[in-house]
Amino acid sequence: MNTKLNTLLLLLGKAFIAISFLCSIPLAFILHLFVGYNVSMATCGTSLGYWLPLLGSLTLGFMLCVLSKHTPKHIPEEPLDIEHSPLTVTGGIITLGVVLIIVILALIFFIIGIYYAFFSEYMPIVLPICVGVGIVSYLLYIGWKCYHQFDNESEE
Amino acid sequence: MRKTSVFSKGEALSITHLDIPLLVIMGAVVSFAISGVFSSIMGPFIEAGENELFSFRGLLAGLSNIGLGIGAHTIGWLYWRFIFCRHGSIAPRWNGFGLLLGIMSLLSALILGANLCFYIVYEH
Repeated sequence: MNTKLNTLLLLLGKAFIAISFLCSIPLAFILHLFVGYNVSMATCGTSLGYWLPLLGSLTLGFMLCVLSKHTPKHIPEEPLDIEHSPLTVTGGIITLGVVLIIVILALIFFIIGIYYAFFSEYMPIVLPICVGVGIVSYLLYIGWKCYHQFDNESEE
Repeated sequence: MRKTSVFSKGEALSITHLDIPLLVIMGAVVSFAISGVFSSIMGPFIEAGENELFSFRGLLAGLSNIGLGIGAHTIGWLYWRFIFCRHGSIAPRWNGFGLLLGIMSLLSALILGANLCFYIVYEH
């Protein structure tokens, strides 16, 4: 039902949603110029007085859009799914970012660990432990191989 | 079968599947993700003290930006599910202007994320 009211409601709702995300640059200066609401750029990321109007704008936008009964002009053949959404791209970017953080931090800490273990004052403690563990593991490995060889010979 | 890989989004990035608020939300998500990745990787080492190896607060600042990005992505998903799927795009021809607004939102969210990092590291 595309009456003018429904289209206007939808347009207003979408505008409110867009405004709520255009945080620091446009909205802060508009508020400062026209309303006199002083938004310090140093604290605009944390002050509640800055966040709450944006949250209000977002909620109002969502409510107006939900209230509107506008139907799309071009109805797609298949119903739209999340797979059709461009948000899959941003979701992929976030996943890629998290994987990148984990991989790079793990690599850096591995290198730092190697440095602390073998090239710092802890070396006289860590090196004998590593050599000892290595020798014991090798002996255990040889024993395990011999044990299985003995098993195979007895079966034959 | 439809491809769902990140790098084969020909259908997802169709102009009829885009909208100005969606572009603005995408700009914010990308910006939070980029600032989160950079500050998570470099923050812990830049903010470390004189005899410290690692600053947990620096890592927290970066991860908070990633969290903001996930929050904005959730809002975008809600917008897609409850508004865009029902009403569609009113004027797809205006998406070029929406791209400009998306870049504006990207810069805004970058400032917001950087301020949040400074707050967590120095003032909290």
